[in-house]
Amino acid sequence: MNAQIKDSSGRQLLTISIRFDHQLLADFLFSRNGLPRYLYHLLAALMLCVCCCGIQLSWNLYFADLPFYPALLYAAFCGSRHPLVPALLQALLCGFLLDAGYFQPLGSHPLLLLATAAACHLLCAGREPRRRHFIRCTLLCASVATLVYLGGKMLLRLPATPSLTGEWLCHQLLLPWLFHTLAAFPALFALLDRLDRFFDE
Amino acid sequence: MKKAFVIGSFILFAAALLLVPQGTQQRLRALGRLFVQPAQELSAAGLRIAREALGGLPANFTVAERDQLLGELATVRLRLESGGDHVRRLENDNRFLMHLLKLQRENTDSTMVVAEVIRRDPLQGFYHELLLNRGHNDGLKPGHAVVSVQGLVGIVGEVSARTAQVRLISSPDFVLPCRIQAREITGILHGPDSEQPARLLVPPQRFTLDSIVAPGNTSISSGDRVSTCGLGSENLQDNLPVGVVGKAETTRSGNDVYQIIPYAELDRLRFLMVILPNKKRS
Repeated sequence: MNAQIKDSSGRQLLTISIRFDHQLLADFLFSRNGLPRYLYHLLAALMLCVCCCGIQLSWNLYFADLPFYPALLYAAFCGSRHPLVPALLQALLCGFLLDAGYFQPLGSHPLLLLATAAACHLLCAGREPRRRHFIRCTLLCASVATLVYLGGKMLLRLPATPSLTGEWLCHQLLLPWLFHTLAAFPALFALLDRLDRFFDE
Repeated sequence: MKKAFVIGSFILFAAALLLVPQGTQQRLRALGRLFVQPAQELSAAGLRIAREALGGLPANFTVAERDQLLGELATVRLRLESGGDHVRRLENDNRFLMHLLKLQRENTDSTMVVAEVIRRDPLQGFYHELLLNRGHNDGLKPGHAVVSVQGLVGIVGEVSARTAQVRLISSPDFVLPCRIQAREITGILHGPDSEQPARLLVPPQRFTLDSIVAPGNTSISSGDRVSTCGLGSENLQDNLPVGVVGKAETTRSGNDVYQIIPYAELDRLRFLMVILPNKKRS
């Protein structure tokens, strides 16, 4: 399609030529690596942010004995797998939703999750966490994310933090760290990697 | 360098969220809850089913708590069986009190909603706020009074569909108009002052009543009963017991300030009642 702008004497001042490549357009719209991939990433990010926060908000009401932080897991996953800005944006959104669900002043959870996502991103920079360094990256992310999140949580609430008894430390730090490192992080990372790979291949 | 700048910008933005004014924060939180509430409901249903499948225990109830409760039940049964006449007398008293309660309910101008405490943060604000498992689906609105068997515990703050935040009377931010009914005196009840250092797991006791409005030469004396005053909000029920007047003090500006000893025990709160006034005051 050609569009032209002419002056009064009929001379062509501007010519715009638009060409449609049906093959490329069809590839973009209907192939797995085209538009569906972008839609998948956008919808998956939104759904996972909301679902992880929903589970974290409900979990401690039904399984109070076992600290489990799905929003933290998801922020760490984004930090290690996604580019920096989208990962931080998702961590910010998760933190905002957690603050809203807990009726807390806005800002504390976003700070903790941003720190977690940033730490995981820096740890996995230069590595290939999906294929070659999966176990190392997962263990590092789980350890650092759990410690950053729980340490930050304690620091933000320092005036009311109880004395650090062995039992308290065991329940508040060691148990979640073990559970996340050995079970939750590897399972979730493997599952989400598998989903991502389906669209990337 | 670029990464450090991006991370720093995001962290600064998150830190700036802490400085957002309270009203804006409330609106933003309400918006956030709009999105997270459906996921929370869905996951709660799934978790409830899992919990039931794993042991049939209700929410927030550990195996240790169940064992403790069963032990206490056995002890109480033993005491009841060995009580004899004492138990019969208690039964008669109970029948009499139930009758009085029935009479009171027939004449009441409010509705009681029983709610369970589902969250009290042990690290922050244990005596400042708590979360109830009732929300605006159950008729709760900001400003409703929350009471225990002894007396006023707090006031409903923010409300979502299934949960409600309660600001406790021991919070430093708690302010409520109160009345000494017997003397027709109104004043403003304040929570404990913020200068007091935090004491873990010890409920603060220093509540004060100031800005006294009293007719003529009426004076306040120790032991006077303090109750709620409906002037504060349309949602607040009148004449709910708050506490008794303790020691009197005079500020530097010469105003009288009275310490209030609350009726409610704030360290053991499990089930509470939210008072919903039925009649609108003109």
